[in-house]
Amino acid sequence: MSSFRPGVFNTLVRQDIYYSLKSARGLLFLVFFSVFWLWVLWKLSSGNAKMLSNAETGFILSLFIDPKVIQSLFVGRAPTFSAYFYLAMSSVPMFVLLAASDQTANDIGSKYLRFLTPRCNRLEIFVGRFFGATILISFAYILVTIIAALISMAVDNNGVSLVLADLPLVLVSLVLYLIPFVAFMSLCSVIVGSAGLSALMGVSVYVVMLVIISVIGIKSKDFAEVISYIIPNSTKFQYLQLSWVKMMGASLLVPIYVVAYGLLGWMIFSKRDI
Amino acid sequence: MSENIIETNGLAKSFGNQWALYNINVNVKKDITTGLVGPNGAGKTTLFSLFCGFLKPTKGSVKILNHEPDHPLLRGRISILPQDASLLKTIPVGKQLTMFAELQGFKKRLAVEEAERVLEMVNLSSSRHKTADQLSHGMLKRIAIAQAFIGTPDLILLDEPTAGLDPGTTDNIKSVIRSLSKNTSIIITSHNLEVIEDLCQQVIILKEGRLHSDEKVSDLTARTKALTFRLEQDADNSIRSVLKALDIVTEVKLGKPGQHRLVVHYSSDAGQMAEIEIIKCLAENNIPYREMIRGERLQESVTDRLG
Repeated sequence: MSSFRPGVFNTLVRQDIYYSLKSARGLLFLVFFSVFWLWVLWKLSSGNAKMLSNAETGFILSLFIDPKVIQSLFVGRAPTFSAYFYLAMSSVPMFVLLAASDQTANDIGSKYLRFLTPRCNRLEIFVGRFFGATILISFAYILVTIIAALISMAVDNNGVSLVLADLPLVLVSLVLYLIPFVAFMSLCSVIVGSAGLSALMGVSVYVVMLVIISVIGIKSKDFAEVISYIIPNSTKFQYLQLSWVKMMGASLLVPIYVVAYGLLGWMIFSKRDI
Repeated sequence: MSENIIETNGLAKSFGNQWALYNINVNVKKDITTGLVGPNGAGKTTLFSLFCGFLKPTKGSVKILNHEPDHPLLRGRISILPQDASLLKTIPVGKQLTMFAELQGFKKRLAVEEAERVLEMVNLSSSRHKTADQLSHGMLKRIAIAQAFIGTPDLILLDEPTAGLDPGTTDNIKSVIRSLSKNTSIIITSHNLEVIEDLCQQVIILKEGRLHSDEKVSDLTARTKALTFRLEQDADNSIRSVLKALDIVTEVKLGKPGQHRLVVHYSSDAGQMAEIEIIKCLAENNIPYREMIRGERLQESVTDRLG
């Protein structure tokens, strides 16, 4: 039996974020994240992304990216900000699988949870860690998005108005897109006893699923599309079209992913030895 | 309301095919300090972990304060010293204790004061700004003990509270536990039976994953008239027949090799001279001893029972 106390939950989330900023795992994520985005933003600040608005470049891009996405992102929008958005969405799985890998894993391995369980319920710990990871990663992406927006305003033609129009949608899309990945890592994190193993497990399952979906796609595209909904990046296409309607449609799947991964994770965590 | 603070019913735990505990039916009484003892592999830590809810039973049930171990109503009512849990490495220990106090419902300022109070209890106030990496094993143990003293729990469970501590610190911890035991039920697991004898009124003995006995410490230590000697060296078997030749002696027990121990039981109707006769007999047979105590120590009693 578990009851949920908001006060304890808030304290747990606050403490988890505080620990993330003090711990090796949190710092490792922030260093990787910062170095990657410093490099990308420095490249974007040259204004080269404006080339992506050209028809010729768009044609070449369409060989690799869905033409609908190219049209939505690079026609009538700030190209630097759109390029950032595309890269940000593509980087979400990589960074979230790394940053959210240690929601409970290391604390199971080190038995630190034994100091917590006399004071809080397992449900409060499980949900608290999920929220802590979500807030940390969301905050990191929001910060980088704001910097990218400022760069785009400076380098793109009509940048200010175009970026201001897209900024809320980009922020909401990024945060909504990353939440199911955090939930997926909640599940991986309760199975093993170290953050490294948890990350390895998350990446392995994710990559294996991508390969399986691709192989199935060769035989049957429709079936592959259905199967692809097992992993959260199936909604990426909708978010990338940068439309409130598409975004809201994709967002309907967020609670389903969170409940599905979360329930599986909770079923394991509530019964496992710690 | 039950007089028992913990009740188990057919409690069993297996790890794979190996049963660590089997069919444990035990009641731990309220308002006393209870020891949980047994040799390595007896299942002490497993039983302790089942009491705490760290492990889930394979069979049977356990009730703590009339609730299952994970019950929300137990939060803040029980405190636990886990044996091998590690504190966070990068946060100062004082801050970690404050975090624990906050989770127990203390407001921020009061949580800081509570952390100070428990650090004071284990004489580590000066280490509050240090991280786990900067503290010795013994100091970390004391910090872990300190976290179990936060708040005013109804039940404190301590797994090996004095393991790895020097004698002076052990005495300090024993004194803190003794003072807390006036208002709180306490359960202690320990290999150190002197600690159990000093602090506990009841003792649960486990052997090979089964309940061996559940008795009052006073019954185990003062059941018969006896003298326990710590000898200069191990006595040989001949002392047994020498002592048994005395009319008053009913039983002679020799410790295992290296223990240098001799326990002499004498008849309950023997007079006051009985002790002198036994000591004289040892002197006449040139068997020197370092220490003599009246009665049989828990150590000897338990060792004897466990074979």
